[in-house]
Amino acid sequence: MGQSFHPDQIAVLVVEDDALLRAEAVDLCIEAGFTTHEARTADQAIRILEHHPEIRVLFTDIEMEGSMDGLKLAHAVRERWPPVAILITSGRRMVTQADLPENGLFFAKPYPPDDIVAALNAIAARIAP
Amino acid sequence: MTLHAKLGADVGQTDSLRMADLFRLHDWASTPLGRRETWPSVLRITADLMLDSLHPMCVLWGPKRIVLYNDGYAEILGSRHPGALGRPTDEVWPELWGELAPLIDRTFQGESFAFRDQPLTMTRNGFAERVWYDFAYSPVRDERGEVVGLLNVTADCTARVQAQRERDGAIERLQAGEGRLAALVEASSDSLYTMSPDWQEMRTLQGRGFIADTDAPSVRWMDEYLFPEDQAEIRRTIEAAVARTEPFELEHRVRLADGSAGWIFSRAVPVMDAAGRVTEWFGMAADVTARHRAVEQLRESEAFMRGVLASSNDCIKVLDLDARLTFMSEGGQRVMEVSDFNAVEGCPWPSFWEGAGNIAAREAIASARAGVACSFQGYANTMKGNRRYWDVQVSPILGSDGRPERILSISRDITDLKAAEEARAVLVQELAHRMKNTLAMVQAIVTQTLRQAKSMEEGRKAVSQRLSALGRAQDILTRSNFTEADIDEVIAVAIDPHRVAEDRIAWSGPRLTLTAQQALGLSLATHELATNAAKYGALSNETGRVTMSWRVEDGTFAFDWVESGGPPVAPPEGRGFGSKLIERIVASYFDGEGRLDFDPSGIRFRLTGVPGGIAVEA
Repeated sequence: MGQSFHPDQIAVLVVEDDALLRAEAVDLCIEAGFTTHEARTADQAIRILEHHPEIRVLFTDIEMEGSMDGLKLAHAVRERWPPVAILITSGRRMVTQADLPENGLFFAKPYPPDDIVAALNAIAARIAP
Repeated sequence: MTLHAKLGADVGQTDSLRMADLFRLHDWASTPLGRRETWPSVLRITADLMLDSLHPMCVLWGPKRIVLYNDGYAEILGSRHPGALGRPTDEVWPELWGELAPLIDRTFQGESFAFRDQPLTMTRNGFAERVWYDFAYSPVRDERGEVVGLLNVTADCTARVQAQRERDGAIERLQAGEGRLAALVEASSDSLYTMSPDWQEMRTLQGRGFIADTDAPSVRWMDEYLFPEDQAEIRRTIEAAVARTEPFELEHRVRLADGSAGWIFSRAVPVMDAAGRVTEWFGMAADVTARHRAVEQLRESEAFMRGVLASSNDCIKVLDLDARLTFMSEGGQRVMEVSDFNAVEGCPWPSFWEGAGNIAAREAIASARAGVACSFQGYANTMKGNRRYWDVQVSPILGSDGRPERILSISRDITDLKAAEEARAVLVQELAHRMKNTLAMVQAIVTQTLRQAKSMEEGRKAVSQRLSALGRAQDILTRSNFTEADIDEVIAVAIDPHRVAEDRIAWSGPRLTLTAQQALGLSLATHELATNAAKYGALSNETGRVTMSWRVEDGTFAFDWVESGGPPVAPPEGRGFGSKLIERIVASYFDGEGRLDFDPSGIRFRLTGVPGGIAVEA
């Protein structure tokens, strides 16, 4: 692909409660060359973030069970880990820019896989050393 | 009548001497009668008789009508006494002589006269007194039958006359009173009746046309005039009036002259004798049938309106122009859960409405005051605090001058309708979300399948079969509103396309409900296993068997897929999407584990997890 950065040094955290969709999103990120972690709930995601400082991208669904939904998680992550880039997807909600944390990107489900890959690459390019 | 009054004018100066003495002392010789000793016996006897009598008497004697009288008559003569004694009548009463002479002459011719109740004014007791006397003239005859004198016998009849006059006055007053009473009775259209003291007997009844008359006393009057069902109450009222001797008063039903039922207002009073005993009851009865029927009709019409208002579940209210509550229908109180209307009477109606409804209610009032009806919908709590959604019509009630006088507000509880509308909106949103989610699943299945497909043909086939399996699972879920499905049904539908022979695939387990995701997952897993079995496993030859079973033990769900009798199994070289789906994805839906064993005698798959729901990891 001719990237001048090393995507495997930039980890992505996929948060999705549906196992099938999560598996596909994880495969998508791995295929794009990123180290990928996965979580089924927001609480699980926070714990993973705490142990993996190399995670620079949060890719989360909105609807999920647990104490937080994806939007709350995104805001919490922006607050606690400001450098982490945020990608949000949902099948239910029409999410406006005002709902998103700063610099957050929204992808309506079902999303074109290439758009996600392009977004990940752009983020990787921006934060590359 | 006045003649004898004149006979004794200025009565009162009676001489202290008694008449017997005056007779003895009188100079009779100078009179036409001559000396007393010479008087004929008839005169002597008459004079003695007179003097001895206590009745006032006088005698007119002889052709000169010489006046003789006794003590009693002296009082009548008044100032003419004692000068009148022995004088001719025409000299004693010269002013009356013209009237007296014919009567006196006729008495001398043998006739008798009586004058009753002659009024006189006497001063017997020191004051002028109105008195009445009877006078009787009778002839006095001598032994030859010749009339020689006139005897006038009198009697004081003042007491009788006064009694008579009092009686006459009383009668006159009574007659006048009766006349007025008769006129009153005649002028009134009321019927009149009299009853015996105990009301057992009706003595008379003048029905005045509207009820039948009773002319002869009747003890059967109740049956004649009253309907059987009314008699008890009327009898009770009568008994109470009789017991207390107080007026009877009752509005009751009667049988009218034409036989139909009518109403009278009847009032009777006891009539008592001097001893205070009731002699009869006198009563009047007014025909109030028309009024009663009007009242009845009004009552019926009111009852009808009340019934309409009560049975309507609309909350029908009347407000004054200041929007204060003055009336709320019974049905309205029911739906508004008002237990006591007094608690809300006079309350400003718009304050019942919250939020936008409050603004709409104020606007509706302003509009109705301007004479224009309008409507709105909004939320308002019932009195018990239950939130309801209402469809409200507000319209002016016009007065006789055509201007709004009051305001009518009709609210219908459309909470259920509103909830249904909202539920439909939610459902549409939910459906859109499910579609998106399903599309995302389809996308994942297609992408995953194609990622590992060795050829377009293989990929196309696998995608079609997987989507078909997903579709069949969706069918089951559709029946339960996408919330749950029965495991037996899920297996049956998933395995159906792979059933090569009735007895080679079997499944059993307790009745169990799966969540929507579990149902989809187990469907896909069954499909993957069956497809693999048909290609390489127990269903690829003529004799292999597949047995599925499930159970729940200690809160753990376990599902087993066991193949037997198929060709020997060799572990695959790599793991494809199928095994990832079975082992990881479906296991995740059950919040458990999936384990695929490539046992040489047949593939085994064991899925363990939580039954009927996924516990969220903290």
